[in-house]
Amino acid sequence: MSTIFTAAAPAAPSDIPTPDVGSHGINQTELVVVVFFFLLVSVLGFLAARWRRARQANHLEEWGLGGRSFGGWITWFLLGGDLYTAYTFIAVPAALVGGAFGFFAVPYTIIVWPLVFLFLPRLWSVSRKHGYVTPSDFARGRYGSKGLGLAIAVVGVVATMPYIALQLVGIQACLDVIGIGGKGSSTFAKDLPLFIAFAVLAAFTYTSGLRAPAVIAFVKDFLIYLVIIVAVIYIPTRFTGGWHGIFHAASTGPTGKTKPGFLSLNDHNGKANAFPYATIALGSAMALFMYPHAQIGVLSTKSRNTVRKNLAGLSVYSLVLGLIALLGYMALAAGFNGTATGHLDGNPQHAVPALFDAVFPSWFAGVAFAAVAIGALVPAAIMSIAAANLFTRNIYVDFIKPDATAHQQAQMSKFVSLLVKFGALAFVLGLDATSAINFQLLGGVLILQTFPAIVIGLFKRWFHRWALIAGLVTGVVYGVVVAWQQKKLSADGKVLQNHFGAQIAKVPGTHLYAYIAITALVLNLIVTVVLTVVFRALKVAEGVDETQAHDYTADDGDTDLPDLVQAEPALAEL
Amino acid sequence: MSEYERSTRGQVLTPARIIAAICVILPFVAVLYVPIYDKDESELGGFPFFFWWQLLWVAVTAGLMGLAYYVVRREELARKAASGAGNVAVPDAVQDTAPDAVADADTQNAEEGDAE
Repeated sequence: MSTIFTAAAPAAPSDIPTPDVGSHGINQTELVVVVFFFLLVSVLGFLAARWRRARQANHLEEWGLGGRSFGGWITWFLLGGDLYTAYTFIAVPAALVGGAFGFFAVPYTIIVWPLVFLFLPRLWSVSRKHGYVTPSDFARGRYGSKGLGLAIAVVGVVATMPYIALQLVGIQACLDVIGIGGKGSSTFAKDLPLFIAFAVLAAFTYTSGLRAPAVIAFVKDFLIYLVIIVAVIYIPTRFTGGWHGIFHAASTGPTGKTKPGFLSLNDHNGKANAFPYATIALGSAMALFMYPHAQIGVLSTKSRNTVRKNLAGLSVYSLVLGLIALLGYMALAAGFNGTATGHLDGNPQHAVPALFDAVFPSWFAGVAFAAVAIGALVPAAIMSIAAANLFTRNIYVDFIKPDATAHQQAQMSKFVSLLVKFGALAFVLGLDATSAINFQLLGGVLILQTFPAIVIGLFKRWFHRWALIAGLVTGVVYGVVVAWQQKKLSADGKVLQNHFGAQIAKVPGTHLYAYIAITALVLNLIVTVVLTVVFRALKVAEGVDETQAHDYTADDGDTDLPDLVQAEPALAEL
Repeated sequence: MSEYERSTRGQVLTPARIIAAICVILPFVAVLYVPIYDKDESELGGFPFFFWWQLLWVAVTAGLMGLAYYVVRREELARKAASGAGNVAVPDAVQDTAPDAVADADTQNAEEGDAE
């Protein structure tokens, strides 16, 4: 999809020095500011365990779901932490460097809220009633199938791991611009900051559980809002013609002509872009709340309507994301062209850090980089907790040690959260960043395949459990194979990447191009429906549904709900 | 089946739910039907149409979500109050037909099919 941008912008439309990477040595001021904020949140992360200390800290619902006690404010921050991560900060503007298609993040985050409004309250209710900690718990209980729970858990862990790894890529992009870890330094010196960051992250997640990212999210969001507000008000004043000037400069090619696909999608390369744009927005929105880390943000709330009540407020995140995306155009307009004069190769992922470095005084650029780095810690912590819960509940308890106590489950989850994080670290250090990105894009395709079992299962138990597993496997296999076949081409037709080069592929049997995940989902649904009819005709055992109709509308205060590990009214007030 | 349950049956399409359904559906139409906004002109505050239309819908969707929550919650509370103070737990109302997904917006009706 994205063509690598190779041309330099024309005559300077602003007084900003050309954003570049590796053109200076280590910027001491930036580094000091970043280190300061990093230390601050590390301390907060450890203190979070003491914050309204739980009486039974060693319980999975306590460590992994914050005791299901979070009120509106914490939820707002926590879900924001899920929604945009350090990688979003880096990747969304980088996508805009390739043209207006990258703006799909905005329609995606618009329609995610109506989707949430529809189904998440039901998931909250049934999970509260039956003590489900993960989405796989729900699928297992609903369809009476440990196998289905296992399949969804495996997909969840596989999709989440590279996402954690990508948080490191976000930190790395900032470190590159600060000037740490270029070609000159040894591998050890280059990777050391990442290693320290993740060790600290692992330690406070281990001790504080979900409370740590909930507390740090406050600092993270404050920094991000500060940086974005300053950026969108201040940076346009540095361009002749303000926003108009930015759009004009960003969309004008080296020959002085307007590049197609920059001011709107337009159609180019013989491809209609509207359908891919709509499907990738829809598919991403449907996939977001299939991710275990996003569901944690919902399950940890104290009542059915906490999230629904918050939806209007959560839209603020979508607005900020739109503005973050436009930083990509600001970088283009300021002359960022993806080709560094220094020792680092050109890479659109450096667009935003390089822009901040060029346009802000060093101390404020440091604040901006700190926002990105801390933005990495919050989602990485939530994701590792989510992946650990999946392993504990749907693999360890279901298949290895069915009689594990709540205490043993919590211990197992804590331990696995360490493994998950170091796995992610090894992933980034062992493979290159491009592989991490490819796997993350693939993760979106995979996780969407759990949609029929979970979302449709919340409304109707019509599908057969084995048909759901077969559909899930079909969707996953199709998605992986098709994604693997996609080549990435440069503007002049050279092959830049042989596999996983695009998220958009031709829909078999049509002339349409669509997001691979959506095509795979359609295939998944067809298989599920057909096999459901077949299995039912063959009278294959259906399994027992342990949920009842009214469980899906249970609410806080109902008399028949199981007790929580401990009540924390003070925390719930937030 | 109690008197109460019978009285709520068939009220799948209440005005509040219709309003909530519209609030939920509108954003999908506005941003997924791309031809509406896939153009440069007219500019607003320096933003091409393509960009400001989508950013505008962020704000509009926020408003719609607020409205949907408000009407649904109000109906929910009104129904709870009407059904008497003793009725805290949710009744086991069973619907034969699966109504519009938005019907879930209400906590008093469970729309499980009787297939299982």
